[in-house]
Amino acid sequence: MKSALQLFLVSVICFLTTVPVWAEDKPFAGTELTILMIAGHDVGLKTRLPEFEQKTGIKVNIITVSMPDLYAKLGTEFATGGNSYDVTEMMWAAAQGYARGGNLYELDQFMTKYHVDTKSYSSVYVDNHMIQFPQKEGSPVICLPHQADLQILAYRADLFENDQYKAEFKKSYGYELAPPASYPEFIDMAKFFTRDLNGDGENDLFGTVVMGKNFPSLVGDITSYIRGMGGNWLDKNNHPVIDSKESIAGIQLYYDLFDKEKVTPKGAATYSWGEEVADFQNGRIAMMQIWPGAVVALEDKQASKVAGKIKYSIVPGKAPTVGGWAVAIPKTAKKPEASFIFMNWLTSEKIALSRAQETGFSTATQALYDDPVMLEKFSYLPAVKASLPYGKGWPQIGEFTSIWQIGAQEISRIFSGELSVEESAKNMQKQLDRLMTDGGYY
Amino acid sequence: MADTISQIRAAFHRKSYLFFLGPSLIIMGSLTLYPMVYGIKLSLTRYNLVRPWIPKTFVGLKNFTDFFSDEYLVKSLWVTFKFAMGTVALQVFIGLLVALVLHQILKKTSLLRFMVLLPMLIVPVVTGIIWRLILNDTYGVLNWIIQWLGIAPQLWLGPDLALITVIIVETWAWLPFSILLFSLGLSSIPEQYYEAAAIDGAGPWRTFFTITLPNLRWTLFIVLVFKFSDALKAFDTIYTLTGGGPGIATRALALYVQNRGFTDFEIGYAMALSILVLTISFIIIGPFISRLDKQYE
Repeated sequence: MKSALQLFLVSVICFLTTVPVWAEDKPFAGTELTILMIAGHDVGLKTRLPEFEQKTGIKVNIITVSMPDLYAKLGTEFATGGNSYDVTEMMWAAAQGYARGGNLYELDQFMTKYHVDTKSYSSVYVDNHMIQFPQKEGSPVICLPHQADLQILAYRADLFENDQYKAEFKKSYGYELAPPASYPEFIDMAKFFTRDLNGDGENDLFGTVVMGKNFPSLVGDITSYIRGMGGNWLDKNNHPVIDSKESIAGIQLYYDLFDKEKVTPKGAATYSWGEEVADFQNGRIAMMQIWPGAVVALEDKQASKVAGKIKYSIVPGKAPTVGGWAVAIPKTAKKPEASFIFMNWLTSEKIALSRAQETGFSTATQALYDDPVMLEKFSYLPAVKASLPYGKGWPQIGEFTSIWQIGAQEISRIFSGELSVEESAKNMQKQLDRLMTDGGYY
Repeated sequence: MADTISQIRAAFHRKSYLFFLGPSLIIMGSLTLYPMVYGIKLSLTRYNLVRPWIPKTFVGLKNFTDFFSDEYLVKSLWVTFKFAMGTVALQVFIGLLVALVLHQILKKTSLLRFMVLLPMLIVPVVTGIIWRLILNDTYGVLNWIIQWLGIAPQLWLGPDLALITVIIVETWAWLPFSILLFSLGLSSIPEQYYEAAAIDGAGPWRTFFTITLPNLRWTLFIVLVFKFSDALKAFDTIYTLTGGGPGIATRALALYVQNRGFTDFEIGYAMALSILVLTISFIIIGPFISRLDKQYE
């Protein structure tokens, strides 16, 4: 009886002494987090979340939506002061806008507490202070890099390395068929590959593809052409320069591929990302400017007829746009520290690298570009690495999403035949000028 | 004391209507009146949801006067006008035709009547997505069929055909509603009228124009009221089918309001536009409703 009592007392003491230790290990046990993400950016998470949940006791619910839906949700969420999301994904420049509006949590205290080493992230984001607001050295950190995007050119290696095509091209154009190093070469090759393969009188292979739909992706796609021709949306003082000679040349080049050169599918006036990717997957396109995020879809053997036949290079204008997605904590998040623990885990080198290794998803960890195994395994990575020195970011200002809306609307009107390139540029210049004046930039 | 109690009782009886009306008034007030007043208040402000550094300011009627310099609004109004005329004309004409056929030939075939109603039962967003797949210029079944018939494939949602396509899809989706109303209208015309016309030797056209059509005029009125009202608010089918494109070629008024509100997040201006939609609806549909009221009085 006595020994039983002793055993009971020892058990109670052990329990009472271990509970605080257990609680210390999992201070947020029982917390539920709701994470808002872009559809497709949750790849490789489902299998890894249980480990995180077991380790921290934090339960994670991930909601995935389309890009327009994400911004609509965040817009209303921030305007109404809602607290539906504990962590949200967003594009870099959008993060600047939300931070300017006071909607994002400053992360410095957690960065220090959890010893976060920013060197593990893709250097392009850290070196350019894109994780900070305002975007300069010494500013508070407001987001962490989740997905890295830098435009590259995907091309059909089976076409480019075909001996017959190589000989034909050399004979017609006087130089070797190889990934295009300039826009004139790009146009030559696009024209060369645009052809009727089955003899039904309709072209079924196209040199390239553009998108003319009034959708933000259009601005994402055309910007490298504009910059490749020396133009831009804004100058370094945030004055709009979209009606400059160089910018107009870039827009004209993009539109000419569809209208004058006719090296894109006829339906491109109504295309957005989905249609472009579907056409490439179906073997109708020889070259296409992509974001690395699309590689998963292009190399998916079940969905893509050209999986395994694609190679990647730097875009012809050598002015690829730096895109990508960050994760941030809304100011209204109920448990910001728990949110940060999840964010830190999500963007950690270990998780980012293992997700990339498994799925090919272009996570924003520098290790991705430094790992020879990864560079060999994922054929797009060397192209991204080679493009990094040329990468140009979006204007890091709060008006970023509005610039996209204005650009998408006015450029799509060229594709619908409503406006000329010059009229469209003039319209955009006028609207951007008003936008920047409203924003107090000058 | 007794007097006081009877006075209270009398007062309660006099004001008892408040007891019964109160809950309805509170619900109506909070669900209809308050949002409306709040909406009007917002329409008088400059308020951007994603650029909170621009202060929310009272701008009076500026949002409304801005209508006159808004070229996108003019384009949306023009698209809405063409869309409304197209859908209403097609739905009335084809709806009446189909209802006549069903009434004359297939009186007892209820299964077919049900099948005719099917498109109306599909959620408009689903309608848009289904048709977008059917009309896809590369992979769509419609181009596959016309190519099989030896006709060149068409860009159904391209710059030249998008608005016509949207009108046809909207007509397909909502035609059953017109058919249903016209069928009910036709059922209510006494058979004796037709028998008398037949005895008098009236042919089918004369019978139609002197008996069927005059007796359907109020049904026609109702169809017009509903269809114009729907056309002015048209959103979901257009949104899913074309997103208002190519460019802004099919961006009708309701979609423009949505774009200004939830793409540009210019909430004040979007609210002013909503009030414009309401006013246009009232101006166009008001006289119809007033005529209907008089008829039923």
